[in-house]
Amino acid sequence: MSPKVLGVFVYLEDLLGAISLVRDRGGRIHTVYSPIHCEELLKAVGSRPSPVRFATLLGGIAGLLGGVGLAIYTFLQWGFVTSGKPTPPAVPLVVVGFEMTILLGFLSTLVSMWILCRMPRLRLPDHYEPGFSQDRFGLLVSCASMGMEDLTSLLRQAGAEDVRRVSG
Amino acid sequence: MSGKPNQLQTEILTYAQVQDLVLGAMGRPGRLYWAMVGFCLLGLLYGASCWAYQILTGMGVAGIMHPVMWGIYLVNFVFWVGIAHSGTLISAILYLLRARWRTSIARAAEAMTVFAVMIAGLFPFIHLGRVWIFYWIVPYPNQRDLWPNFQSPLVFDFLAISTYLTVSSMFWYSGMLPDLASVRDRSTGVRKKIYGLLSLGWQGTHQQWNHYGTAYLLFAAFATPLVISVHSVVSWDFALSIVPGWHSTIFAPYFVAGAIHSGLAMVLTLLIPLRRIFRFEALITLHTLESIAKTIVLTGLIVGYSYGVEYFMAWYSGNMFEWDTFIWRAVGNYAPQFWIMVICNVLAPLLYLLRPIRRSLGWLFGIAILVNIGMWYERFVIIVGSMAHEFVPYAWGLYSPSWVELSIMGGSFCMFFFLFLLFSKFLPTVSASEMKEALGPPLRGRLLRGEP
Repeated sequence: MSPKVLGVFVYLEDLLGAISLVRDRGGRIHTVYSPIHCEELLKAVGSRPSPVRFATLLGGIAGLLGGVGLAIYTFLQWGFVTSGKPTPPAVPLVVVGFEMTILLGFLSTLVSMWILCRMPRLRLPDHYEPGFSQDRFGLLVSCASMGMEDLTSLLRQAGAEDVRRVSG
Repeated sequence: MSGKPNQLQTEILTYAQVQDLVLGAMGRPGRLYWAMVGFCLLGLLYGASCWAYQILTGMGVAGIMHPVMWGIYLVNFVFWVGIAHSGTLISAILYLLRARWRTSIARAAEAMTVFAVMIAGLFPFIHLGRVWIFYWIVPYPNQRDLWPNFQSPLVFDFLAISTYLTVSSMFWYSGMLPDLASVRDRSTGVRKKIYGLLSLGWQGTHQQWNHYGTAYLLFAAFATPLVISVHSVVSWDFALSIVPGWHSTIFAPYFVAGAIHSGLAMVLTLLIPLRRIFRFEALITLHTLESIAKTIVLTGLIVGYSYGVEYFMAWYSGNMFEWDTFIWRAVGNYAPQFWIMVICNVLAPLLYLLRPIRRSLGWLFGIAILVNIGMWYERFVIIVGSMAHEFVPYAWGLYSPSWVELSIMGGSFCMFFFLFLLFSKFLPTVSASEMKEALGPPLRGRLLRGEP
């Protein structure tokens, strides 16, 4: 397994440049740390649309069917005939179905986000720097075709303010 | 998300300074803070003890009596649900509309939402009397296999409010994760452990931001129709009955507009002191406060239009009971409350049309307080005013709240401010990560002021 190197950057364009350079040399981008949500960065890393969307869709459908199904079941089990209205009545089902769609859709989105983000997590990786949540970007890379020294100097040339080897 | 910089750039220098400003507010609190917390806690305990007294003694200690069986407990329920609305409006709807001025105030508004829904949810239980059987309203069958009636607006209410509480609290918490990680990374000892747990091990990796960004957008997309639906459902508690003054098709939009009106006023009421105490002038700019004031003018006009349309519908329908109820509102026993409502909700916010008033913190705060008062009276006029004056003159009667009801209401306000005070000191009150996004990423070609 090739060694990993962590570069710490102050400026976004330096980081984007470093990502491009490492890619050109056949290196592998393991993780990029950022203090903000940045579309340019996600695009540069080649992130694909998050599968959270599918969990949302499934949760929403389950909520709609569950809410409407429960309401219909209760109506059929005990017929509340009010003012000659049909049982089960259609209009109240809209409210129940709507609220349950929102609730289960939301919860499935939340849970899938936690799972995909691998949270909760009690221990942070040893190479994690507190600056990554404040004002610094981090780039964790490895490259089989390059030595440690070359990779380090590549990141320094790209503008990294600090570069260090990461074990594991 | 990291598009063009906005007006914040003229005020804020670097990411580190944003961080210092936001997290600086979480420093060791002074005596005044603890005095305020203590005062609110005492008020909360007093309110709770009055509720205990009501449970032990019976509902007779409350002023509710035939024909007004829904007193200020339900007035407060509707009031607090309304207050809860602007938080989601600011955090979700304005997020989807890309209104940048929301960034600095969204977190505090969301916190307000969560606390207000929690308090709103208490009032139906207080009103129940036998609160220990509150679970009867939960959709589950009893021993005869009899379920709650899903045609009842009260069951709609349970579903809507519990969904809203879940969604708004988790939306608030999820939005806070990057900032909680930031607090963790600047803390030591026990504090670091606590914030480490609260941040769920957030690291800000590109994978996390990718999933988080998508999820946050979807949360906002869910919260937006939800916020409209919740107060619509609350309005149907009234509109689905045949009581004059309640049985109206405009109730849902009318209630939603009123809810946003009161919520925005409460945002101003909380933010103006918060901004001053924590020196957030650079983050919560006068432009932001002005934008809220302009939105209040809009909601105030919608509310005023609704008041007018109610009268028109009562007159044009030719329904004598409806018309009599509305005439009685304006000139009857509750006329003072009615005119307070009109003046505070419709006329007072029009002063915000004047720029010098919108840019004066004193005026902004004063008018926001008036709107809060007016919106509470609106709920009083709708709920109590209609029940006191139904169809048969023989059944007419007046209501005034007892000291127990007023004490519990006072306790609810103390609970709200108590929770908000705790939030303002122990959690990041402004979303630092979103503020940084609004500044734009640090680029060599565009040095932010103050950088070497």
